[in-house]
Amino acid sequence: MGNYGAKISRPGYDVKTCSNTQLIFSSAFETMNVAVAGTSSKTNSSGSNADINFTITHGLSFAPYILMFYKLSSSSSYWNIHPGGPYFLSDDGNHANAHHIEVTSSNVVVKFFYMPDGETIDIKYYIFNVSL
Amino acid sequence: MIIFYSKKTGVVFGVINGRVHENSDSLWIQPDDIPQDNVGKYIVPFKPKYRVEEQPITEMRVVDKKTMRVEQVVVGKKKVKVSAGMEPDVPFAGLISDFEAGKKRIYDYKVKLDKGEVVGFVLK
Repeated sequence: MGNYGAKISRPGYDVKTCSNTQLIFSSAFETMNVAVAGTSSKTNSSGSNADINFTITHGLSFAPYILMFYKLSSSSSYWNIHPGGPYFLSDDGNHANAHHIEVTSSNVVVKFFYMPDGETIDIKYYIFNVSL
Repeated sequence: MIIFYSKKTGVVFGVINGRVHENSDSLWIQPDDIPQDNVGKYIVPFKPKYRVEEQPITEMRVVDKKTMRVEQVVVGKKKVKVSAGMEPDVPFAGLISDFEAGKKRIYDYKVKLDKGEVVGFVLK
């Protein structure tokens, strides 16, 4: 194949000759397209504090870039960006509310530690078609 | 859209967005307190949606015999079936569309099962 693709230049620049910084789009630019996206939700109904873990099998053959947000029912007015890990300690130094994500070529495992009884965690995740 | 639920309770705990999944067999969501055998996976079927719209029938005609200028002119109308996207191919399509659009929260619902098949949703 020869030189092919699509480009759009900024106003005033010739798309055939301008530099990449003068383009607003080029199909040659590397973009992070989403391979898998979705949501998950779980309530700790164990009667005591407990860990809540989700495993998402992404079907890709590599460990992908991910982006994840979570919302707790106890603070449901906003979404938090998941810190990713390895550990995110609470102010008192305990593992309460310490969460992390493990990414492999098979799965994304999302871990929420020591969730209070009755707490519901909603997550939104985006798994990109780009290898780490 | 792929929906994951507990076969035991019908509670929905995961969703993968989208209408077409090339690797849908390998996609999976599982909380650690639900054994794999108890995880139900429902791939919502979608079908193409069409609408009929009126489009002009045009012809190229000479509009100025002196200069022989030719223009495209409307000579009539025709009804054409055009694509209007996709819609869920299930009796509870409206609810699925509301889940997709974020108008209703799927986690407020449980799947309704009949002989192991998803036949609808009920509020928890």
